[in-house]
Amino acid sequence: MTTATDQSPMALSITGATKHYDSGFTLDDITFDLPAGYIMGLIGPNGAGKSTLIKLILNMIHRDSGEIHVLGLDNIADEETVKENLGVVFDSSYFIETWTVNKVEQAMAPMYLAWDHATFDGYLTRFGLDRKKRVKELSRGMQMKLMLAVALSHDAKLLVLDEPTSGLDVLARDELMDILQNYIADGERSVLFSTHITADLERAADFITYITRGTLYFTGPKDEFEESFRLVKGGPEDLAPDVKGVAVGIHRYETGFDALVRAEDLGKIAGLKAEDGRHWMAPLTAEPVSIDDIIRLTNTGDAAHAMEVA
Amino acid sequence: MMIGIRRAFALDVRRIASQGVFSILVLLIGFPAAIVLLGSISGGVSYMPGAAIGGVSAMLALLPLNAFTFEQQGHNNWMNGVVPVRRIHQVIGRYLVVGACMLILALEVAVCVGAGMVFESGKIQFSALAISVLTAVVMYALLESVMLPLCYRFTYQKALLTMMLICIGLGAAIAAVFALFAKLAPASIDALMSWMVSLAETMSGVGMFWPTLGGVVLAAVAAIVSLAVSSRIYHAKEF
Repeated sequence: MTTATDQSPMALSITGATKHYDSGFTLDDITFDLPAGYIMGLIGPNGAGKSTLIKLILNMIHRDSGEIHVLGLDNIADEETVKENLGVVFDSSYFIETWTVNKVEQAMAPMYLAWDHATFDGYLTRFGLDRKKRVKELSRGMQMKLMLAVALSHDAKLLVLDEPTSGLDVLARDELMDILQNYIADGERSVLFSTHITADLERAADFITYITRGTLYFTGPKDEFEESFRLVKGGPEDLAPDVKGVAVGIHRYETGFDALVRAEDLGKIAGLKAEDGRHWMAPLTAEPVSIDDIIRLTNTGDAAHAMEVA
Repeated sequence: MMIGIRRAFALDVRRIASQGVFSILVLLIGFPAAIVLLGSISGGVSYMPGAAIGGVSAMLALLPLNAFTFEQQGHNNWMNGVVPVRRIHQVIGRYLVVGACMLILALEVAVCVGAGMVFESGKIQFSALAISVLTAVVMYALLESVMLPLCYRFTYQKALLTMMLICIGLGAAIAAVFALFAKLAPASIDALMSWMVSLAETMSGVGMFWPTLGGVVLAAVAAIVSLAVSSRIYHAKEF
């Protein structure tokens, strides 16, 4: 995959993007690339900076430093061209509540040179959206589908979705993932979507960018993300200094602990090595991790301390 | 550039017409229609054009500001970050909406005052009609030039409150200055009054050209300064 993506043009390229708020929160030096033809999941706990990053891409907030390029164009200098090629879905509707679905199209169609009435109409039918219904009469999930219909009806090359699945049931989420998969099938279009629901990532994402506390923790292929960590488990007495030293996050409970350890650091933990040639004497076990495990354990108090030390 | 401005203008018109075009049309047609109706029944009432101008001006002053109220509803301001329109074009588009409302105001005032003249005296006095239209337009431009930056800076409600406070403050300041002069130097008030009368006489002597030019220049300068301030505020804004 790496070889293929190295040759792909970048749908989105973010270099050193930084945004500081007076509240003290800082989105710090975020750098990653999304090659054309792929889906990237943007993950992180609440308040990690996912929406801030999306708003930076859309120039809705001002960055303090760094560069953002969409399809090779600067997102500020070439704002109009960039946004012609962006389809955007937020977690809440941005349409006026008293507008009907029909009025939404009347308002949005003149905004885009490549607006396709037939495509929009097709998505309305597919999503079961009634043209006469007002936005405020639609459920949250249907409002999201309306934003998605708009985003998909002007030949956007990059979809940016902020928590698009949060208001959807399982079936609708499944349908959305199908749509996204089909959308990128031509190899020219890409999707960046933030989510809390890691099952969506398992299903659709090729890449993962993980942000926590405003800092980029990981960006790369999804498989590498899970493979680069292991979950070390042990009893309460087994939390030795060598485990603490390499763990990027620890969760303690009455009967033991879970420690998230980078795969390359496993060898540094003595408790994982057999001391006897005939029997496995190690008191600790190392297991594969899920994305949820990584998010959970990199946001514990120990993880925060580990990040500060790093 | 023009595409962006046109899109911004179209989007703001959609926002303003969100509650329906019919009610706006009824209000716009209502004032001239009322003048014609009442005039044809009673044969002319001198206060009618004034009342109509007040009503039309107030309505058209608030109409473009509705774009701000809709923006503040829910997350509609996010739409400004989604559509392919630069911020400067969004601001210019909104000022064009105000310009369009100003043209409608000029037309409405002309119809109302003209109809009032016909019912009152049977003929239209074009110079007086032009002065009425010009005065309404310049006052409108000045008012909106203050209101728009306030609406970009504050919420719509806060902007209205600030505008009210500005008007009250200005009125109070002028009244205080007059009261002070009346107490300390009564002759200066008389001198000011006689200067204003002589100015009015001079102006009536020079015809319509100079007052028109003065009014247009004043309105244009106010609009340009207002646009610059609004643009600066909006560029700094985050949503």
